[in-house]
Amino acid sequence: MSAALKLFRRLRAMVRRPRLDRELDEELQLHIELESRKLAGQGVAPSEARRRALVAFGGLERYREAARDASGVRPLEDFVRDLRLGLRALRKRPGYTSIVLSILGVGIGGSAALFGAVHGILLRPMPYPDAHRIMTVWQQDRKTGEQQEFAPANFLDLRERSASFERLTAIEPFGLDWESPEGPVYLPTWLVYEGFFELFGTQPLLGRAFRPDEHAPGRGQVVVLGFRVWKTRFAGSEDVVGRMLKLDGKPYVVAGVMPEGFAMPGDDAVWAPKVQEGWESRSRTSRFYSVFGRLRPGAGIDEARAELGSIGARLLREHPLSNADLGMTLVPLPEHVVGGLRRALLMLLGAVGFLLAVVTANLASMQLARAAGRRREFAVRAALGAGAGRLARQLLTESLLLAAGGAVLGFALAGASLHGARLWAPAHLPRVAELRADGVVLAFAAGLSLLAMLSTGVLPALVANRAHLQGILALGGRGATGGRRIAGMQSALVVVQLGLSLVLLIGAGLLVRSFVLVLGEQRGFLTDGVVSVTVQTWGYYTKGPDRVRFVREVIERLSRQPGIQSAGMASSVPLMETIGAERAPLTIEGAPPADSPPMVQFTVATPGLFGALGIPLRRGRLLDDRDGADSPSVVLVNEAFARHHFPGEEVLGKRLVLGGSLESRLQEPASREIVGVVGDVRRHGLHEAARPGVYLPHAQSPTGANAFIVRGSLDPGHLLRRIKQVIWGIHPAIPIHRETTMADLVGVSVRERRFLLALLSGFAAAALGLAAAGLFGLMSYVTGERTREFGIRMTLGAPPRQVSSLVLKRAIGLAAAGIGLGLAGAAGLTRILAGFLYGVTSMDPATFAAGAATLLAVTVLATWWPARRAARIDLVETLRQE
Amino acid sequence: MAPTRTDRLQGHLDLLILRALAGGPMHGWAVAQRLDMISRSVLQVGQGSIYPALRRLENESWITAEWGISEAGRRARFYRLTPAGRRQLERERALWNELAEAIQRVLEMA
Repeated sequence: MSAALKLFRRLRAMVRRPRLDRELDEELQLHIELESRKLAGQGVAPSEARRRALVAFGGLERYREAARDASGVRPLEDFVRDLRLGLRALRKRPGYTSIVLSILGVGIGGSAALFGAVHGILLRPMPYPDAHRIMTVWQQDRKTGEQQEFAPANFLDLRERSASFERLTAIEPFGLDWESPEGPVYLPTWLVYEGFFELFGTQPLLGRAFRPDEHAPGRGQVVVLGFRVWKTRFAGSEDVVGRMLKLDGKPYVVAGVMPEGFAMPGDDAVWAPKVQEGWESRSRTSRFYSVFGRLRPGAGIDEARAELGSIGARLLREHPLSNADLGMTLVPLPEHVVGGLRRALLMLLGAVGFLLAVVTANLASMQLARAAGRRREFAVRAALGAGAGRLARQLLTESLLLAAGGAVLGFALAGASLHGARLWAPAHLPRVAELRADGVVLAFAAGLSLLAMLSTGVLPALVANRAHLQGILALGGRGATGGRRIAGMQSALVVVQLGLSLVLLIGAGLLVRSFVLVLGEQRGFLTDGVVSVTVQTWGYYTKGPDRVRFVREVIERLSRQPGIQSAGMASSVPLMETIGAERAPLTIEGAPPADSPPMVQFTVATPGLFGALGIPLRRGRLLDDRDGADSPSVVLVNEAFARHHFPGEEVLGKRLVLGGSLESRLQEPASREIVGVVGDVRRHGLHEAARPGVYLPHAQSPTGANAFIVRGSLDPGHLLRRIKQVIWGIHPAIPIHRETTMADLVGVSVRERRFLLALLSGFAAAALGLAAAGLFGLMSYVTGERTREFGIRMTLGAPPRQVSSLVLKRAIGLAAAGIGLGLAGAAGLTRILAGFLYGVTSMDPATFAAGAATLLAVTVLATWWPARRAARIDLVETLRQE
Repeated sequence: MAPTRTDRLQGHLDLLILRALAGGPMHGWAVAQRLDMISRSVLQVGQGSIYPALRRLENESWITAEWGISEAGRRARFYRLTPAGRRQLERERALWNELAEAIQRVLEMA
């Protein structure tokens, strides 16, 4: 019979219980009556006949019960009774219940939250039809494997020659200044090739995407808004479609709004049609196109990759100079979007798994202790006729109830964590906005909670099952054998907890050391009192000299203000994402010609920059006001440049060309003399040593990407306001792209490091706390078990100190085992962390030692009270109690 | 777990009840009389033991029960073999015969 049918029958039987009971009674009465009648027919006296009928029946009550049981109602009834009993038992011990629930809730909540993040970010398909066919395509340096954006001409060739992709499109970072009713606003913008939205297959929420003819010259003045831009800048109003916006001084029409979740590459930007300029279709060295492709149905990734390889090879043959060392490769969209986050998430998921294991071990030992305390109760109930299985089942039912509670708490916690992640996570983290505590997370929490409670509930159930009745009853619940077995299991559980905690502790320790080392690195620039305000003046000052005049005016006005020590301008700010072009091909005069010119970082600067950022001069001179448009072209280099290009040589007086024969967005190439060497600056991250770089005077390279960097004694907010006032005092329509303090930039640059560190440290602290509590509980239990022994020892003359050292020794023995386990585990596992470390190896002996020492210290701390209690045992009092 | 004496008895009892019902529907007391007739020993533990067995067989869907009027003119629960029960009986009977033959052979060889 099918299980479902059986269950149905049971349920029906339960509902109909009273009637079934009546019917059974009726049936049995009839039997007795018929039997009596038969006997009476054989000549037995009526009263005697009934007696004999009952005897022949053999125990009316017994068989009635047996028949009731056999009718299949029992298990369900028992289950309901178990639930009721369990609830009552849990309510009677609110302390125990709430501790278990909170431990379980935290363990489940943490795991479920991380699982939710892993599921939402890594596992769930991206919200585009057939998302697995969408690829990002890259040019790739054959030597270093570094992925680079596409040069326009290479993209056009790729589009023409590729057969594996049914559609290829490119986007280019851009920005539009909007003269909004509330003042100038900078809108980050992506210029997109034809077919961009169609490639993703996402329909606009409102309005339409771009028409093909809007990519023609002179026609591209339409925009599609990202969801977040629409919400924040346009208050989510539906009549935005068709509205005219003045962008970069020209009228643009809002064509549509993309839905929430369409974040290619972000949802806080707007998209405008790419209108290709003439020079672009020939450019193979300026690489700024992000390329997306949708594979043809049936085209494999490997196949496409091979095709890209051969197209790349052909381009290399056709354009050996510009495409030297360049290949092509692809990365599936989800992989590209998630990027480095994948490793971090999986690492954290592993770490939270360890925490969960500690939680489980801790719960198991709590359940064991509780079962030990209830052995007497169970022994009595067993003596009164409760089946062993029944007792075990009751314990499991209690576990089940706790599991349900833990799942609910854990799910709530996971929901809150994911909500928090949505609110506070750095905006650039991919797919975070999609995170929800959904049914999958709930199922995960419930399953995990159930698993945890069942696995921990099994141990005490086994103990209860094996309870030797007489022994336990005779010894007043302190059965020597059972006690020892429980203590043994408890010890094993404590060792496991200590070991797992140590692994987490060492992992967190390695991240802490890395963090300290990163922050302690020589950055090469000052942060205290330094702020920066970024503008793009291209559209407001179309001629170089006007841009130079504007920048000089701003800096002069700023320098006159009290409370400002130093003010300068740079075309890039350390630790900030690109604001203007910052790499150019380099040719050193007199050096043997390279087959492909190396790319070098450059920063356009004014003289005040070095004072504002505190970049020291090492040799020669800094830039100054003599370096005008008509003066000889000069350049400063950093120490890394000097080391790399002129090892052991005089640098000053050497000449170099930026841009060279290849087109670039810089001014026409000029030969520049190196007039000074300045200190290195960690531009790309505190963990990344400075690369060779050069500084060009603004007057000779009049870029419109301007970050004003100012150092002053005013508070940062005040300083920022001053700068903006000065800028707007000169040109009121220029929007501010970004304003920030250098301290914030440093904070942001180590944000992910700090986040990982905080989470892992939290897990380690929680695990260690649980392990310590477990140890404390065990040592208290052991001390209690040995009260009599300790009392006798002291009566026989053992000093209290010796007794407490007995307890301490035992704890240290456990800690030693835990440390051994933890060190071995850490040695095997910290390799996973290697990519997150800085300045330490994953086997850093100092961190391992510190972790072990911490564990030992916590052990002593957790044992201190039980040991002291052991030393204060009063034998007379103990014996009287027994 | 090795079958205990009660288990074995129960197995036989189930088989015997199925066999008794193979002759047609009857109520509990009649089943008991029938078994008594076949073998005095089976019900030595008590006639009442057929009731748990009947409930068990009912649960397995090997028999069904319906109310009818007994020879005493009182309402009685009549049990009837289901097709599944009939198959079960055949299976049990075949098993039993095999066992009996095996034992018989062993006894003759000795």
